[in-house]
Parts: sequence; C-alpha cells; structure tokens
Amino acid sequence: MSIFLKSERKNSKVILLLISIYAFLTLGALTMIYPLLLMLSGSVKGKLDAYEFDVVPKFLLDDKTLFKRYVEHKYNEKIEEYQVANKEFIRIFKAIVPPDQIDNAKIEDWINFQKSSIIPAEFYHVGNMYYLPGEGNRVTTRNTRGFRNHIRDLCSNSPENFRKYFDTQLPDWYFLDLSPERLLDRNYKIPRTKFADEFYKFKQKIPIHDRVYLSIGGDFSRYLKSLNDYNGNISNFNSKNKTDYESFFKIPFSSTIPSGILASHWENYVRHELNPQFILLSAKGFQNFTIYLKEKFIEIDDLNLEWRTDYNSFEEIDFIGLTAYESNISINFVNFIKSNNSCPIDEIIIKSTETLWRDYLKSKYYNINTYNEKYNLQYISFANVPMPVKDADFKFVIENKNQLRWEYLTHNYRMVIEYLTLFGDGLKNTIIYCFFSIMTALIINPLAAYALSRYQLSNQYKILLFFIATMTFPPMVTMIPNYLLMKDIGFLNTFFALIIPGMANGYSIFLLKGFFDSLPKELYEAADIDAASEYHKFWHIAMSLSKPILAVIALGAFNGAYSNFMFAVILCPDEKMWTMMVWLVQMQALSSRGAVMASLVLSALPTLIVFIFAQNIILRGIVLPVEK
Amino acid sequence: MSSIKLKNIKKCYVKDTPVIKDLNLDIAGGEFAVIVGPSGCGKSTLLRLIAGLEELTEGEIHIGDTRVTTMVPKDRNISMVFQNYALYPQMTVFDNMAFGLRMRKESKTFIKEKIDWVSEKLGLKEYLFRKPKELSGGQKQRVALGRSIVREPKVFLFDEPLSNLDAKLRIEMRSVIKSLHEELGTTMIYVTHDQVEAMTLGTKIIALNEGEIHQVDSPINLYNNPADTFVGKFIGNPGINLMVFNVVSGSQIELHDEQTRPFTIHGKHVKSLLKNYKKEKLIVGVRPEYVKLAKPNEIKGAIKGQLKLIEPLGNETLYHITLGDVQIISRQYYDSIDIGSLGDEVYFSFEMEHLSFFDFETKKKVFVT
Repeated sequence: MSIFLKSERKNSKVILLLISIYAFLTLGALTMIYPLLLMLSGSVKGKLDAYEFDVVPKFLLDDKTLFKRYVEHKYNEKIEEYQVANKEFIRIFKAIVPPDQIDNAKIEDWINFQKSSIIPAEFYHVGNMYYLPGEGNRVTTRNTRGFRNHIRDLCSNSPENFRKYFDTQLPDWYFLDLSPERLLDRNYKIPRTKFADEFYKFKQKIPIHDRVYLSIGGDFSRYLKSLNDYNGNISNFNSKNKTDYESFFKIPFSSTIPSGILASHWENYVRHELNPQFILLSAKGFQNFTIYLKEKFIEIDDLNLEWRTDYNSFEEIDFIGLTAYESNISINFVNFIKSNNSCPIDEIIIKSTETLWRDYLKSKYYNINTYNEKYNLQYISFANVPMPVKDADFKFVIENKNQLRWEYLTHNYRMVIEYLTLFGDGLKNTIIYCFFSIMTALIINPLAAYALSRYQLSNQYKILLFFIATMTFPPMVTMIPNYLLMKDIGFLNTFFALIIPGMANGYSIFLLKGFFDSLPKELYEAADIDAASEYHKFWHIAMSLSKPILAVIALGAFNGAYSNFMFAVILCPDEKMWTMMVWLVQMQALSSRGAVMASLVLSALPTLIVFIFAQNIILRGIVLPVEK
Repeated sequence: MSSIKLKNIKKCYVKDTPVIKDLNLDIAGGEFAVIVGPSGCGKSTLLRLIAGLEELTEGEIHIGDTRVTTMVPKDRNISMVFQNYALYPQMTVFDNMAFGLRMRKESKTFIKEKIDWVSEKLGLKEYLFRKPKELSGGQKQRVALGRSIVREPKVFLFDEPLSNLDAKLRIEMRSVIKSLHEELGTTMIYVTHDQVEAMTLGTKIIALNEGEIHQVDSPINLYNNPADTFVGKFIGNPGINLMVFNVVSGSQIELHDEQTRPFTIHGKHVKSLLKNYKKEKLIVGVRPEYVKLAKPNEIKGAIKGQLKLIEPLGNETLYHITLGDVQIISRQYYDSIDIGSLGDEVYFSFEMEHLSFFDFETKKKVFVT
C-alpha cells in the first residue's frame, strides 16, 4: 500500500516530501555503498596509494602512477635503494617523476650490456622481493613467492626434508625466513650456508628487470651527504670546496682515486665504508696483499689452518669473488685495505655494475664523443655516464602495462589465499565447523520448538521464558563460563567445543515455536487421522512447511560459525584447530593495508553468495505458508 | 456400515464447566446424521470426540461393535473432512490422498489403484500432480473428500466442510456429498450450523444446543414437530413465531395486548391441551407460512397489528408485523397481496391446525392428548 493516494501526489507539498524522502534514501544508500567500494578499491592498493580514498585506484588509469607502484615494488619499498640505484634524491616513491620519453636505442645498449656481460650476483639485490611477509607490513611479491616455491620444490614440499637439508627448523612455508641482503654495507657478509647458496642459485635465475643494481656512485653521494661537515646540504659542500654541484647525487665517482678535492673523501669512503667485494687491486696491490699475509702468518700452513684451505704457497691465494662472503679471507682483506701502509690508495680499483657498464660503452664506442653524438648527450667522460635504470624501468612498465595491472589487482588476494592454503587447516576447519553448526541448529532447535508448540507441558511458560532469558546475556558474559565448562569436560581444541555451546539457541527456538504455532492445527489432526507417527508429523508437516524460517536459522548458524573469532580462538587455542577467521586476524596483524582489505573482501564473499542465492527463501521467512 | 453409539458422554475443557453434558446418541449404520446447532453449541467438539481428536471426560463411544473410547484416531477407522480442508500444502494432490495409505504401509500398486478410483469419482484426474495452492476452493474440498474416501473407513466425519465455499459451490458440493453417501452407503456424521444443509443432506438430524441434544428426528419431523422452542426457532428460515398466551379458562387462551382487544383461541383441542397443563401462561408457536394476512374484517376474529417491514424474495414475501412487543413474521407465496404500506394496520390470523404449543417454563412441546 502506498503512503499517499494517487490524488494526493499531485499536491506540491507531497511532491516535495517525496523528493526529499528519495534524496535521503539515496544518500543513505551511498553512505552504505561508499565504504564498501573503498574496501574493494583498498584491496588492490599498495603502500603508495593506500591512503588515497579514490574508488577507482589511479594505477588502473594512469601509466605514471603505475610506474610509481612498479618502482615501489621493485625497490622493495626501500626509498634508499632507489636513491642509490638511480643516483636521484627523492624522499618518497610518490614523488618520483617518470621520464618524459624513452630513448629506445639507449636502453637497448643497457639491455645488451646486461645480457652480454657477466655481472656477479653479489653486485645486485633482488627486486620485487620482500623477505618476510610481516616485515614492514608488506605483501608477498613475485620473487618471494618464486623463492618460496623454489625451496618447496627442492624439499618436495616436506618440512621434514627442509629440516634435514638445511639443518634448521621450518616454522612454515609462508614464513620462510631470509634476512634481506645489505650488499653495500661494509659489515655485511653473505653467509656460507646451504640456504644462502640456494638463494644465490635462485638469484641468478631472476629476470634482468628484477635486478636492483647497486650504484657505488649513488652510495658515495649518500656517504657525502651524511658527513657532519656538510650537514646534508649541498651548498655547504659547494662553498667549502668551491664547486657548484646541484645535489650530492650529481657528484661523480670514479673507479680509481680522483684528483683534487674529492680525493680524501674517496679514500675514506673506499677504505672504511665500502663493502670490500667491490674493491679490486692492481697487480702491485695484489703483491702487497701477499706480502701482508706473509707477514701476518709467516708459514702457509698457519694460514691454511686458520682459513681451512690447502694452498701450497702464498702466491696461489686468489681473493677475487670471495670477499663478499663470510670468511677469514675477507676479514684479512678488510684489515689490509684499511691502512695506507700496507695498501697505498693508488693500488685500489673499484669494480661494480657501473664500472662494467662504462667498460662496455667504452669498448663499443671507444670515444665519449661518439656516444654523445649518437644520443645527443653532453658527458665529459664515460665515468660520468649513469646506468639508465629508471628509463629501462619505465620502458618495461609501458611494455607490460596489462600484466603489471593484473598483478597489482590480484597480488593482495593471492597473498591471502596463499596464506590460507599454505597454512594449517583453516579452510577445512571452517567448513566442518559451519556444516555441523548448521546441521545441529536445524535439528536441535526445531525439536525443542516442536515439543513446546505441540504439547502443553505443565511448565511450558517457564521453559519458554528460560529459553528467552538466554537471549538476554550477551555472548561476552557467557564466554568465560563456557570456556571453563568446555575445559572441565575436556572438549578444548575439539570441534565439540565449537559446536556444542551454540547448538541450541533461545531465539531460534522462540522463533520456530511461534512459527509452528501458526501452522493450522487441523494439519496435525488430519495427519493423526491418517495414522502418521510423531516423526512424520514433525518431519512432513512442521519441518517441511517451515523451510523459509529454517533457512533463516541456517543462515544465522552459518553466519555465527563463519564469523566467529573470539570464541573460536578461546576454545581452540591450538593452531591445528584454528578457523579461517582466526588465521585471517593473525594475518592482518602482519600485512599491508591492501592485504587486510583483500582478506576482508574474501571473507565477506561466502556470506554474500549465500545471501544472494537464498534471499528469496529468507524473505519468505516472514510469510506464513497457510493454505486457506 | 457401522453404527455409532454414544453413552452418557461428557466433555469438559475446564473443570466443572461441561461443553457436552451427559449426551446419549445412537446412529445406525449407513445413516447420514447431521449435527446442527448454533456456533458454540458443542457440535464440533462432539465430532472431534467421535474422531478421537479430543479426550472424553466421561462416557463411552462405540463404533460398530468396538469400544473406541480410549483409542487414538488412527485406530478408530474413521476419516474426517475439515472446514479449512487441512490439505498438506507442500504435497501434490496425489500425495495428499496417498499419505494416509502410505502411513498404513499399503503397496504402491494398491495406492495407485485406489487413487485412480477416487479421482475418477471426484473428477480430480487432471489435478493429481498439482499443489493445493493451485486449486480452487471447491477442488480443494474435493481433494479433502478424496483423501478421506480413499481409505474406505467405517465412518466419515465432516466438520462444516462447505462453509468456506461460496453459495453456488456449496450447492454443487452438497449434491456431490449426497451422491457419495448413496453410492458408498457408509455411515456419515456431518456437522453444520446451516439448517438448509442439514435439512437437505441428513437422513437424521441431531439438533444440539449448549451441549445438549434437543431433538433427534428426520428433517420433516424436525420442521413440523419441533420438540421445543429452540428447535422451532433454529430450524426454518425464518424460524417459528412464538407468542406468550395467558390461560384464561380450561378451554380458552388469549393473547393479551393492552392496546387491542384480546385475541383468544378456544375449542376442543385447547381444552384437551389444557387438561394436563396447569400453568398460567403458554407459548404458542406458528410457522410463518401459517400466518394469514387479511384486510380488516375479512376474516372473523383477525388480530390487528402494524406492518413494520416487507421483504420480497421473489417466490415469496415476508411481512414483519408487530403486535405490541411481539414480532410476527408472515410468509406469503402469492405476488404481493395489497395489504398496505409500512406503518399501516394489518389484520392476520393463524391456521389453527398448524399451531404448536410449548410449556412456558421448560419450553418443551406440550402434546395434545
């Protein structure tokens, strides 16, 4: 029935009222839908755009934002790595300015260089890899997953094999532990473990565009910037040294000691800050190192004893490629290069990806002018040519837009699903719990309601009142007594503890009793005359006519079981019995915002699906199926 | 063909307030007994007692030679048709009819045969696989009938089966039930508050009021010789006219009204009537069709009354006349005789041989000896 008669609707006041009612309803609908849309869009966002409240994430529409997201993921959300690799000072990923245009030929050189040269794996970090899922609230990215799968395949998916092979405990595949590498850090040494070896095997296989190259020049700039003398300000540097650099990141870094004002900084940096793996020695310097070792150990056998090696003479010792690893040679080497006495600074040569790149250019173009002419550039020497990492990254993004978008749309969800499937029995437990909750709710409650409805028990009113009274206690109140009861019975960490306390529900019994009461009495009488047993009357009359209300109760039981977190975690503290919700809450504590949103969306899906498919039945739950 | 015997039965829902008071009734095998009475008279309760849906407080019930007093409904071999059909809404027509047989573990072929037979008889063949809600009221009631017939019980019980139907369907279903009775010859007990249904269907009518049987008789006798004022008033539409007369002498009674001259009845039959009746007042009943209307002085000794209402019904016309505070209805089968218009004075008289006399205190019929 309509509120207004047709004739009344012509009245302008009524029209105004109707318009305002519709306006309010629309507003109300929007205030409900907007947060939902935010949740949906939030579930595909990353650290970069997590706090932007746009319904359609920008990276879907805009290549530049997509590039920023790509760079953020590639550099493992570490702005310092970006600064060093690109020799560019940027505070946050959001502020990165993508290149205006891409010079394909220039990048072609860079790619050819990477393909043709042997770049040691110790010279770069792995991009797109967050080493721990919890670390810094991140998501599982492509290479984390790749490495995890590599290790799982290696151990044939058996934690037992993992323990045997690597001689460490495995908490879970998901939490495969690997601390991030800090290859520029002087004190960082690659451990000599089987696990690290596997990581390096994996590292060598990653695609070229996932490599995060370490620019020594960039690191040197950061070193200069961090010096107390300049207080991080380039103008202090310029005035003290009478130079005119735009920023610290424009200061060049050469592979041998430069002349002039930078020399002392260069020497300090190389001797005391740089990871020794980037340091090579000239032939003279190499001889000096041998002399240094001779003086220290005197006998080769002493060296062999300490280094656990089997050299025949000091001249055989070769340190190339070993200084990056945990070993006695690198300790001795570090001590050796510290002092000017043993190692004159002129004998030190820097070798890094940068120098390899410059060597490559030199061998290709011979002269910097040829290079400058070809690409319309103005470099003074090859030493000033940077690695075109940013351009290459941008080119990669433009060429792989769709794959990247798809990856960012799905990776939060992928992470949640992986979390749930790799971990324990969350899914299985939830399915079992929901199934039995529904079944018991559909058997126990109707039986009680049927008895109350059909038979005039002597204290019926009191019994019903007792059932209803259970509704007045909030679940938090009954939680502790319930826990104690379950503990005393010994049901903790079993499905009984989850299912039994929720089996009978005062509200459901009350609802069902009312429904059974409303069924025509004559149906039961007709059945009586038809010789139906009590079972048949219960099943074929009461139950089969109450399907809508039973659907409502089943939905309630499903919802209760599915969304149960507090109770589930208290009654089943053992990880083996955790339900999906408990796992998800656990995951949310150590995941990015996007992953949290994705987990919310995923966990809302089953309820949504049930509601969509059962809405007709549920809505019919109010209408009585009485035949008149 | 089972007879039914009710012996001294009593039913109280609440203690000491009986709904049925010490009732005795015999229904012979094959009879169509109609229990009729106003709402709340206990007629449905009586039927439910026979069906076993209610427990007796006192007394005994026999169906055939079996004492069924304490038996549950399914063992009594009866079937019942309810006012609101009570079809199982979720089952098809076929399943509805088969339910009772299935519960009795009959074989599938037997059930099918039976249902074919019944649906043929009731014209339900094409509806067998429909759900009740897809049927009209008349069809539903036919399914309900079918459901009770299919088991071939000893006794059929009907609890106001036609009162949910419209007038036309009611007449149609009435004949269906009637012909069913003739065909099957089973004992049937039929409860109704509609006296027309009672008169047309029953071979025996039980007039019930306030838990007591007032009269058990054939329809014609019930109409012509009501046992008391209740039956007289209840049977017939409109019911019998009742007037209180004063006994003036041993052979004369008069209807005294202050404004008019008294109307007296005297004669031989009054004299013989008053031989055994020694009270001061007497109730006289007369059916409307025996109230004759006349113009003033057309009939000797006519009574003067006032015309209050005229109800033309086509084949007959009802005239409502007041005589002081007494209301009298006259039924005339002729095209409206020109009596006058509303408010006019009319004269009327009774056909003396069709008068009934009732005791003023007990309201029971006083017989002329």
